[in-house]
Amino acid sequence: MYGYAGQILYVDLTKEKVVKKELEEDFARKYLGGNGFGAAIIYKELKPGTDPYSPENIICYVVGPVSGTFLHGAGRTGVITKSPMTGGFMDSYFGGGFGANLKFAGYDTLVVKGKAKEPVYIKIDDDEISIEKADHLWGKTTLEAQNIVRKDLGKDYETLSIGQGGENLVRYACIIGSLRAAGRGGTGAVMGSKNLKIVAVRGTNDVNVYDFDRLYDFFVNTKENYPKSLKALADYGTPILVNGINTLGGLGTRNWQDETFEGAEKISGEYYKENLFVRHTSCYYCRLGGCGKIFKGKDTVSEGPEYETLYSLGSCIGIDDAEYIVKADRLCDEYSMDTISMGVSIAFLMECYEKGLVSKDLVDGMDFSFGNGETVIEAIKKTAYREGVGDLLAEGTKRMAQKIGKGSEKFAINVKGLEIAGHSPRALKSMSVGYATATRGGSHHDARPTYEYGLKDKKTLEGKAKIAVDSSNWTTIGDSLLICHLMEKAMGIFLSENHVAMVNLVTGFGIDLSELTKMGERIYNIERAFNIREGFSRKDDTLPWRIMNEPIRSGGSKGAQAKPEELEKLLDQYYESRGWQKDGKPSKEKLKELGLEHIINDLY
Amino acid sequence: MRLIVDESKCVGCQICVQICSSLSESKDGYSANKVFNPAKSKIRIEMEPLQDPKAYVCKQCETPECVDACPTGALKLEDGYVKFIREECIHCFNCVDACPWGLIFRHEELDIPLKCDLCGGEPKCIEHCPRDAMKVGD
Repeated sequence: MYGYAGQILYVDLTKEKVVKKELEEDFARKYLGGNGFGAAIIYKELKPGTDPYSPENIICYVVGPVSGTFLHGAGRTGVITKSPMTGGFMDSYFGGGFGANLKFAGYDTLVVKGKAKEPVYIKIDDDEISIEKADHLWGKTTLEAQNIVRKDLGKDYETLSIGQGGENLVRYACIIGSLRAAGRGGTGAVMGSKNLKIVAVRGTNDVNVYDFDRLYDFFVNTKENYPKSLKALADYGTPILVNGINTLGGLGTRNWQDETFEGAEKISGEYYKENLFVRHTSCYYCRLGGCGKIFKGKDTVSEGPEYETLYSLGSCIGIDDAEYIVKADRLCDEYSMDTISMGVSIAFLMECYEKGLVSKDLVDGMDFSFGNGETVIEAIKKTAYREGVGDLLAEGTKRMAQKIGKGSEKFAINVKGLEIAGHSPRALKSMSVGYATATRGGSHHDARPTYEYGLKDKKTLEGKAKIAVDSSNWTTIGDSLLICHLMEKAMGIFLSENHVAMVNLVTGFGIDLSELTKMGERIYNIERAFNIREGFSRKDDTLPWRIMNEPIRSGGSKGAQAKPEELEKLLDQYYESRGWQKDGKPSKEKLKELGLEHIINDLY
Repeated sequence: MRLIVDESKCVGCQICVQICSSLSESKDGYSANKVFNPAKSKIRIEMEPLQDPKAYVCKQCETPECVDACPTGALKLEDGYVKFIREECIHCFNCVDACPWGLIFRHEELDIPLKCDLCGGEPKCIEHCPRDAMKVGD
């Protein structure tokens, strides 16, 4: 089969058993790869109600048909599991060389279940798979552990790892592949719960495509469009977004008490480039020339911070010291903790502290005022080890608010338990309904903010639900192909003929745009069904109280608010556009249309 | 004349590696591989976290030991670089062992050594490097 390695690899850590299964063509045609494979597998194999930390939970490492080729942003890997943050479906992605190597080794998906008796890592050397002891790696940071393994096995191995955050079950622990993060939703904590420290892979087999000559032409012909539309990203990386989003008035500030940050200039992409820039760096097989930036600051060097971290560990906690953010970013990556959830959790506690809702004892006697960089660094370290106040911070804002009480849940900035990213649900209507319906919770990679950033009229509700639907169909296919979302300006903000060409030239499926869209819908409906089976419904498609009930105080979007009645209207439109019922369930007709008849009995 | 990679400009994207593995010779030694496989590339880029990438590719030595080791004249110093003449290769791989730098590679599926011969003078990887980090020079 063109575009596929042809096998799915199952590793059971309890039974210490490895099984390779042939990838079936029907399955590939139905679910495409990446996101689609992971969603279909965990839907089928996970019983509803499974504890995310139990050995029964499954974690899938996925690649897609485009992985391993030179196509646009193809150097990505997905991780799919049941989330300890939301209790629902989670997919998170990272760039680098891991995914391509998994495919070169011969696998489209690695499925891990069970729990090892002691710390282990999985070694994949083409068709030789082994479960290795990792006692000597436990307690090490992500970079230390990966360096040891690559020194032992060879530098042609690619690795992903957890640090202390994952080992200690910080609920939003992430996975770090080389230096880049599959950040969201606690995938690293799931690895930690399985005593799995690292996966190392080396692959030396071919990736075959259906029509190489035309694929090469496509590669060449789209070259001009590609770096030009993304020049700022190549020059500055994602930090270039800070000033623009701040001017718009949508940069979450001091726990979203406001959305204009007076210190934005000092943590902007322009500032970083001029003062702290070390070099450009790239994921594998990206033709942009690398949006990754290595920055220095506070006796450290980090890849990043990216825009989301400048929001979460910058404006959201009132920090305008660019060097502190470099340090905080590095620490989170070393310990393997999602910078978004970490930053927003600190911001939440800072507001509780400001409002006098927590005692000095609870915060270990520290000054938890907004903008205190020393406190932030200390809080990150404590969180990784769950020491003192770190044990509270490690739970994320939803559970923190339950413990603190006193009305604090009104400003716990999460959706379905996952902290929201740095794209305003008050200023951008498509993101309000986008976050509310995202199967992951507060993620900016289900619905995308890109299209609405370019729109003049941000106040109208008209068409906004449709933007969220269409962009989440694109991201679902992007995550299945598997390509980087940042390429959207060059290749299509919504599903386009470019994406159709990629699928057909690589796989030979010969599908058209409507079939590709249907594929995206199919995968998204499985994710939705997964969550419904876990008890989610319309009532969970909501936003933080603050976002719905407090207008933005100042700046470019002053007065904007995602009022509850407005959100209800958008939800109606979104559900209708998706062919879902008023209660948020995919209709029986829709499921039939998508070839998901087997799901109907689970939901009705 | 050789392929020069400016490692300070290189971002480690490996596009050159992909271009080389897909557009250079296949098993028969005459037509493009048309597959993606870095293990079949004649150039290798090694990434170490937070460091400059390292490029590994034939240095086109002025007194090439690979040429001396080749029993059939399949490797020949001409026009300032070491050319590979496919018709003459008997697949002994003496050149791989002879290279003091370890810059001639092998892949078990391929009958020919993987040695950069500048695509006959105009390396295809150069035109696709997104940071203009590659050139042919002395």
